[in-house]
Amino acid sequence: MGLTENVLIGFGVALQPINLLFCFIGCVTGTLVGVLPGFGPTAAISLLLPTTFHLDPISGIIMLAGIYYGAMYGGSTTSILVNIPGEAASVVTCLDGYQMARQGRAGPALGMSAIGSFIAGTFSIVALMVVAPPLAEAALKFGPPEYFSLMILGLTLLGFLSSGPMSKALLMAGFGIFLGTIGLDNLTGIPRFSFGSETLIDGPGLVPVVMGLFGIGEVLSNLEQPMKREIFETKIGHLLPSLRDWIESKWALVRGSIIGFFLGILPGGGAVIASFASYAIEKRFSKTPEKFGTGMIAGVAGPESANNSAAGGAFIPMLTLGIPANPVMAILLGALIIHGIQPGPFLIKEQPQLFWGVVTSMYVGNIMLLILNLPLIGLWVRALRIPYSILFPLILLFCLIGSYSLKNSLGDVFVMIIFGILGYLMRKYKYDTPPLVLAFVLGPIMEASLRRSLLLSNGSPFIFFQRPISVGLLLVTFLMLLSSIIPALKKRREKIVVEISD
Amino acid sequence: MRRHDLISSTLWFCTGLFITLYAPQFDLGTASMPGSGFMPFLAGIFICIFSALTFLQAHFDKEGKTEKLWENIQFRKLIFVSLSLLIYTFFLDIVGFLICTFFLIFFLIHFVGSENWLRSVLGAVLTSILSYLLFDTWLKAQLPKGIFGF
Repeated sequence: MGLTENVLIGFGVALQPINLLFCFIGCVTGTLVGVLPGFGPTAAISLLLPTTFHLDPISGIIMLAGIYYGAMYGGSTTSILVNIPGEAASVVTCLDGYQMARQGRAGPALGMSAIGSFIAGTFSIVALMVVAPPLAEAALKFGPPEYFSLMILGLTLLGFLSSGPMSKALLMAGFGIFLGTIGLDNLTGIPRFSFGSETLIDGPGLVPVVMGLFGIGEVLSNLEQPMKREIFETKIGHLLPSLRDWIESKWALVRGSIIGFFLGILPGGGAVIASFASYAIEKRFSKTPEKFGTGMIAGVAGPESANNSAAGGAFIPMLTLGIPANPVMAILLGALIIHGIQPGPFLIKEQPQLFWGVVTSMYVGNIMLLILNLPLIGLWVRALRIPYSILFPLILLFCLIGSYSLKNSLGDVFVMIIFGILGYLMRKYKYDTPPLVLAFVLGPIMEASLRRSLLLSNGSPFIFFQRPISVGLLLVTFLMLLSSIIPALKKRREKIVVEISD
Repeated sequence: MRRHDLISSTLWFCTGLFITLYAPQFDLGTASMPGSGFMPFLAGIFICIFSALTFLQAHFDKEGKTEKLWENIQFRKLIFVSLSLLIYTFFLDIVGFLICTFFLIFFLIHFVGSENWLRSVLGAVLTSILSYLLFDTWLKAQLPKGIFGF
């Protein structure tokens, strides 16, 4: 079947009234999550995951995906108006967006952010439609050795792209791999590290772990300091950017969309890194880099288009290889598995309705979000006035209900609380949580691939070096590790990390 | 972060060491067939190596600043929230969702969020009833009923 037929199948699914409704719910929730500081899309998706258990899987995934890319749209509102990023991918938008608001140009900043997000979102969906099917075809050639090498590359990338020291990120990855081994061994049936606990016999669940790390951990981090939230009193005015704004932003939009898409695909890359990378590149390309941070519209257009494009790109490895690129994709992967759908190279062929339905719904969702974020901006600004003292008990309650309702087990709730405290401490001591979550998901796949590979080769580890794709992947891994040791390249990486943390 | 990294990496090293030493109990297997303990064993070694690296980096980083991580922290709020969640979990099955949730939300809004009595009671009543209707009645989540049957 050609691309056109597939797209038509997709629109046939996405435009069904029930799917339109869930797409709308996802987009509204996502925008709200993006607008409200201290509540990210990862926590929101894990909170709403249990609500999809009784839904048709396509509707459920459409809604959860809507929350993810919707949050990318909404996140810029708080960055521009309050100087507090609604979610991590909008941190960099604060730099110029808030300055624009202070100069009375909040309208064009919000407008450029929404329109840029729409352009980049559309670009990434089209790219996803074009890239995913051939990639899935290629992935059919992947055997256990290729999967194992891919996991090794993914985990190395996590360390390479993390915002802190590589050793800390890889330490987190190691702990994530360990967590993935807790519970019954699928091959031998031996319970590992469960210490006789009924909850741990199946291993700690992905949802309680993610809810704890991202939901409870975030609430505790926000509560440790008094939260000041001052909305800059300014007239938002006309939202459409001027011709001059467009001229200044056009290349930022193009570059942001392309960079975002490719960084979105990489494990550990995602929207946050994409937005920072785009900002750094715009600064480098600008004739007046010193003006960045004083209200340059390119500093809003680039990162906002990059984070939206990354949100689309992140679906590629999850839908074609069954490998999540970031914690949100890890939860979506979990959601598909709960619904009895195995993401991977066969998904597009076996579940065309789901794949094309979800992808085209993202296009429909982007149009919804443009409408929600431009004319209704006043409504979202009003949502900012919800006091955190009312908001945080609701987040905690949703976390409690969400983890309990997975298996009606209080054990999962305990796991969530423990990971909540751990997540808070990890934030405090500057240990990245995404490598832990991704390694937790990738670890069991890696273990299974390793064992199958060694069975195939009668115990010879050379099997990983005899197959071209596997060798290629390991070579990239090796070069990446080498680059972190070679002083010149190490300095360059550290410079990027410093730029990001600044 | 220097001093904090030294402390945290030591704790991680101990965790890694425990995993490495405990994992062989599940059989490490052979080269052709790794056993159940192999992957946790490997993960333990991984944790030990990278925690040792973090320790060494922090140790040799003489210029690194020591941030005061625990200064001006509202410990009361953190302890209240963590304890209230644990107590809620402990009583949820016995007392039931509605009553437990009412007290949890009231406590959090009033004592942690410092809102007035009226707002706190109203917030707690509305949240517990609406969340019950949403999750139990509409989404059939089977929330615990407790000894009172609701």
